[in-house]
Amino acid sequence: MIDFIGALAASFVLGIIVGSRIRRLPAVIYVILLLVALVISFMVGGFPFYGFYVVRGVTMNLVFVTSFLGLIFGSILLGGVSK
Amino acid sequence: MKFEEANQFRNLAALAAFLIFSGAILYTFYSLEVIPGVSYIYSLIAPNVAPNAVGTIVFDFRGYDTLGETLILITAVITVGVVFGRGAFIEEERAELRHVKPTPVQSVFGVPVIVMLMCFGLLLIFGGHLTPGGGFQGGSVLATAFFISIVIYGIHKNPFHYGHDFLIGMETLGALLFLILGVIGVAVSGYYLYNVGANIWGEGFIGFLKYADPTNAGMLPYLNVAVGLEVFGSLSVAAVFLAEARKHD
Repeated sequence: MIDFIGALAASFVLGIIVGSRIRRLPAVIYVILLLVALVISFMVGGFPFYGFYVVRGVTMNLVFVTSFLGLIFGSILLGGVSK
Repeated sequence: MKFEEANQFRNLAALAAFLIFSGAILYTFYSLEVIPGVSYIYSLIAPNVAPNAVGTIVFDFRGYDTLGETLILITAVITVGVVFGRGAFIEEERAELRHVKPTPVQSVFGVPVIVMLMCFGLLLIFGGHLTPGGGFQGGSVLATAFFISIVIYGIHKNPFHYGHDFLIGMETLGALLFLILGVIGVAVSGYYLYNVGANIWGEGFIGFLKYADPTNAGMLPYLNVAVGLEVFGSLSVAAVFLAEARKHD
């Protein structure tokens, strides 16, 4: 059960703010970044109490993922075209 | 709008902010009631506010101290800005910074490392009331990610294009958020920076801000966010000033 909705929402919003100054990247980079973020979120695990138990023994860090999604959304929506 | 008019509005806004915040702080000092042994009491109840007792002490018990520490950063950045900033440049010297081309390794790993560091910085900010970490550390990690991007891509062709205005905006937003959260404490309980959500002293009608969340520590997480934004903005804008100052070499 997820009982830290506030942290998820706030990390997403803060991610958008910080990501709003990352220039738009090629789509393939976003896919690679998503895969890397998922791997790292599994490695970060339940730190600090923001874990989501996917299967027994495997924990994913949801705030890390929402921060990443916020950064990417900010970059795509507000980041501007790459030079 | 002309510059003079905009400047007048800015001065008025600054005056209003100064009056509000100074009034709130003076009112708190006026109504301050010193409880003997409060440090000992706080040491006992701190773990009930948030799992990370250090975070509770830093932001709840010693919120004023933390506010002062964050304002030191602003002072430091103003100093860096005065020494290395825009004022130090002559218009003719605003030449493009000699661009250093990133190596293949930097090109491949640069963006993923920087983005992941930024995610980790945000995670640290939101975990400040739970574990060691928080606004200072998270903001520093965010700024470090930006430093790495400057080292790899330089200032002008950097995909992470945080400019002076944006970074100063972040810094200002962080400081303003901290001060406004303090004023909310005054409005609710009469004490500046009173931890509204946790309400350990049972002041005023503020039970409605409690929500069913074991990670809830009142407004400590939001103070962490404010400090994180300010540290990120301060350190990064100092880095931008210093990087641009290399133009004089």
